[in-house]
Amino acid sequence: MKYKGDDEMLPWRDRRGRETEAATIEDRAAALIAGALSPAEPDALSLLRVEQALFRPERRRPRSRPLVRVAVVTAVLVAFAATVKAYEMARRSGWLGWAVPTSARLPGKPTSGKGGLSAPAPTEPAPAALARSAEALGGQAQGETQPGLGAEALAGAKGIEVVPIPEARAASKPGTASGEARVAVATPEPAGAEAGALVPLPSSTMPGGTAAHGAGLRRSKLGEARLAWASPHASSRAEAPAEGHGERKRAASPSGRREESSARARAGIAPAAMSSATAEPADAPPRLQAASVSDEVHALDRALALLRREHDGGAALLALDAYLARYPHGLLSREAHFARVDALLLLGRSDQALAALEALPLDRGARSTELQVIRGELRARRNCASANADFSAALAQSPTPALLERILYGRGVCRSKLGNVSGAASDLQRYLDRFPNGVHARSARLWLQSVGVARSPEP
Amino acid sequence: MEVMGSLGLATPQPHSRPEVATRISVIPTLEAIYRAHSKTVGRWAMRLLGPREDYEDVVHEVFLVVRRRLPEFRGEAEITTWLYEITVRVVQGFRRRARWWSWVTGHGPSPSRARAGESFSAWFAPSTDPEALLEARERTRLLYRLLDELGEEQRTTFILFELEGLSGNQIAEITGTNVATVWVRLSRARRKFMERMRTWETRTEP
Repeated sequence: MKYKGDDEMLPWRDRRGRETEAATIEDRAAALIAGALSPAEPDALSLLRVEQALFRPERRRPRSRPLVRVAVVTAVLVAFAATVKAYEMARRSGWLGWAVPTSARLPGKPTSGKGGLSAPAPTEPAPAALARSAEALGGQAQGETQPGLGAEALAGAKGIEVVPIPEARAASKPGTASGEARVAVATPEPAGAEAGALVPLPSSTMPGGTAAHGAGLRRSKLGEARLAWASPHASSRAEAPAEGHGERKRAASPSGRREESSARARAGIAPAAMSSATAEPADAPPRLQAASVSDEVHALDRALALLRREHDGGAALLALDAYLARYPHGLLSREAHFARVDALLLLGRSDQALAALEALPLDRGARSTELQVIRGELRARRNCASANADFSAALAQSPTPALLERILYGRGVCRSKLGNVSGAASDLQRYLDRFPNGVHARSARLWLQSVGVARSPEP
Repeated sequence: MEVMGSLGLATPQPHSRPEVATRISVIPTLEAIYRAHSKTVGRWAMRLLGPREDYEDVVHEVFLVVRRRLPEFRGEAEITTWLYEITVRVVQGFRRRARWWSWVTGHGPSPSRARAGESFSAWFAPSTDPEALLEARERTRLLYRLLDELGEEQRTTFILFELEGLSGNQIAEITGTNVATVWVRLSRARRKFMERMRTWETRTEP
């Protein structure tokens, strides 16, 4: 039907519609329209209600439909949760290209490479998983009750980078029963140790001797296949002759426990998390925990905040140990090791700090010069020859004036202890030339005067 | 107007169109609009909705829109045309929501609408004869039932032209379309209306 123009199209009401038998449908429609009622004026009461609602102070909103809104919000939330779940399952099952690398998967972990979705395994700390995977391997660690050993070997076999131990080695006393407190003596690792020999990680390097710290597996630098291990049992506190002993005592006493739990609370570490290695069921499937970079950064950031801003060495140390246990090969593990040294120094644990520094490669990195100086100063207490090497190496790296001051004085003192009077005089003279008002200027002048080296009078 | 030199160029002056300035200055307040046009808007709402009790909600919503859009109103169009346009849009949205609700719940309008029932209290009574009044109400019910089977645009155009008696140009201005579209919609609405009416007659024939 073509429409007609405005002047040609007449309203039906003007057709004088008829409702006879012979009338067309159009006539009957017109009659229907003509016979229908028309609205009169609206009800005054209704308009008054509208007026009151319209002009009262708070605006009347159109009627809400709470049920509909709740249903819509629920649907959106369910859809979002389903999306997140599907994404997580796809990520875990390796459907996504950047999922957990296959080299980091351990044997025995169920994979779904053929497209099937695998139920996400319960999360567990990586050390515990490594430990169980070592048990699964068996063989190598027979009789040693060190579940972390096989994990280390496995990690190496699977191409996982293993960071050297930042602590001093210790050897365990044989014959301790599993489940009892394992006694470890912190002794220098024998140079002639056989490749593959097992060296327990001393808990003296662990705050409170907890297993969570020791569970961070490291490869010894001396032997290629030499492995270090630590008991994952939280109850087994290794003893060390030096500071670890006192540490163990502190942790064992009620006040020590309180301090430890307080530090843990500050570090944001739950006790269960620290002893999660024992809490895990033995028959759980071995697997590595795939942690995101953001989680890793967040964990380290919290530890660094405790250290740098709150100057809480104990809490920072716990947080860093937890970080290193969780991310033993993390992107920021090097920074975490450096921060751990700072935390140990803040706590006054010089020997542990030195042990940690000696295990770290200091040939590169932003803080390498500073850490070399620190290591030299720590070494200078016992071994001035190695301290001199550190000072000399740091001096060759164009140190900052503050470091230069420490280097010159430290090397001068060490040379004097080693009987190198001329070398010491040279360093201390250089020190006084450069820092006439330095912290050690008075001591340097006194020593130079004592050895008969003429110096300009004190400014 | 100033005349610039011998060239006779006129310098434009601010508010050189006094009629526009006058119209802008006489834009009424919301209260004034409500007092002057609330009954008209109510009647339009009743006409567009049919014999329903909830036209009051439409009136309220229309004036909420008026309050929101009043600063934008520049007076280029008649205020009644502007109000009519708002009423048409509000009624269309109202009916759309009611349809969606009935589809979701499966039973008519929202159960929260206690006054969603039919009401002829504000409609003209042609006579005092109860039988004639009953017949007129039946016709009105049938008319709106048939109209409800049209599309929203066709229904609005049909009501404005056939029941309200507006011209094609007025409908085009109110609905924001051109006149040709109005006639197309009206033709299709009439054809569809007749089809539905024929179906109804066939169904009700003894």
